[in-house]
Amino acid sequence: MLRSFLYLFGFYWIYEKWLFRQIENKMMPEHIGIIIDGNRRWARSQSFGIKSGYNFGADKVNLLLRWCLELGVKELTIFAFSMENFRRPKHEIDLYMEVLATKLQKALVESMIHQSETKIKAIGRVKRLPGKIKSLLIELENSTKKYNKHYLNIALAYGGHAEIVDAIKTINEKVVTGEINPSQIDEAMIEKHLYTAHLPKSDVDLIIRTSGEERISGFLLWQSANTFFHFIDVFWPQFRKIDLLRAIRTYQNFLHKNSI
Amino acid sequence: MLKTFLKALGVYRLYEKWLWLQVRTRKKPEHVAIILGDTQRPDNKALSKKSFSKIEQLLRWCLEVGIKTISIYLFSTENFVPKVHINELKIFFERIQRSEIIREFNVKVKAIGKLNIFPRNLQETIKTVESYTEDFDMHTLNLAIAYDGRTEIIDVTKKIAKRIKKGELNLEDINEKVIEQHLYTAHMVKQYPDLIIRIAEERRLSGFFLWQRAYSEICFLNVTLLFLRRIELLRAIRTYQRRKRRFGE
Repeated sequence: MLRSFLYLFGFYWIYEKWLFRQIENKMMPEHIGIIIDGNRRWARSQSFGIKSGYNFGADKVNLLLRWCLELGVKELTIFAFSMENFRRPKHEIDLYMEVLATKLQKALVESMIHQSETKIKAIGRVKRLPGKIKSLLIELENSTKKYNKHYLNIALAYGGHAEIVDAIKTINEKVVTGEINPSQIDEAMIEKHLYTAHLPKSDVDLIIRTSGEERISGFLLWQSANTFFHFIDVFWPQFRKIDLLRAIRTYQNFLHKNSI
Repeated sequence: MLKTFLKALGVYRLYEKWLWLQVRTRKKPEHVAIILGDTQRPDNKALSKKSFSKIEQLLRWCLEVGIKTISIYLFSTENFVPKVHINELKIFFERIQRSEIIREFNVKVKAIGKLNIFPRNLQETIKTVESYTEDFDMHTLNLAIAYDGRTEIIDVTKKIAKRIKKGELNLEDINEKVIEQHLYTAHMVKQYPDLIIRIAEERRLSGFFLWQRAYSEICFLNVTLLFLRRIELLRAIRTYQRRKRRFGE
């Protein structure tokens, strides 16, 4: 009720413009990670079905990409589906994959992606995803592979532990064949074998998690060693541009305070 | 001004008692990890006498609440300055050994990190404390010194590579369990902290427990070590108790 009132009088619009003024001339995070949590809980709170929750959530992702591009954020990584999410009931997973397929299909013809020259990549144990999703992802990746102005990573079937296990396995395969000497194993070597190896900057500057949960659930464990965390008590489908601007402002304030 | 006034009225003491009543009836976190502020600064204050008493106090509060394992992040490999810090670390560990709390609560002490970068005499002091408390089994205190999460993963990779070369391990066997067996925390029954508390105004985890923190609840306390009160610890535990951990489901 209060919200609609405030919207009507343009308060949010004014606040948004003010927030933007505060952050635009300072250091923008280069790589933002976001854990889009709370789709199902939001749907339940609105008495919607879970599929609606996923649909609204997916639409919000579209908006998020637009906002990040406007702000000049170079890399965006979205935690869309974790390895642990496979433990959910089958019908929920099926609904999720249905929505994901529709959105990926739409992304193929999304002009924003091509105009901004955004390279899209799925990161995770992608082999575990349904066939239809895999082919859509391959199509999407191929259609954007020549881009290098911006990067959008969709973490699907992703696990932070799984990523490190896969990196260590691949490195050791090369040790066995003699391609790598164990003494060469260092930070750069590990990073070359993570799912994020293709990024100019795999380290994340800012991670935002919605829905009030304050944990990282294995998201980008290696890449988030020194990341600034921002937890927000709002379900993902309710996330607004103001929330993103606030998160960036807090990030900038802490940077300023803690610079030696 | 207001704080002193409230303190005089005993309001904080009442609040503390009320918090304790709320916390004690619910399940406590078994393993709590604490990142002290200032670990990233070259003049690491964690080792001063004042800080030591505060750390002791914090430890006592955790043990009284009933937390079994406490891991404290003192030092990373990056901000270690040998000339300055070796002697201070030596004194720190000697103080730990003399501390009443260790005997009172039967606390096993273990140092975790890339300990082989330390000179022999410091390593000896650390080993002395560890063997002295080896048979204590009611609680465990892990002190992370020369610890860096990425260095830990690199060390794990190298250790696994060595074992594969020796034929002790096969490539196909590499999985999460194998990695856990080679971490600096491999000696712990419960390697993963339930709750990570970050002290001082910072919202980073500074490479601490990079692998182990995957599912930990995180609590940022906007207060520096020297100003930390039992109230803040109890609040953090109460917050933990209120959270719903779904582990992805």
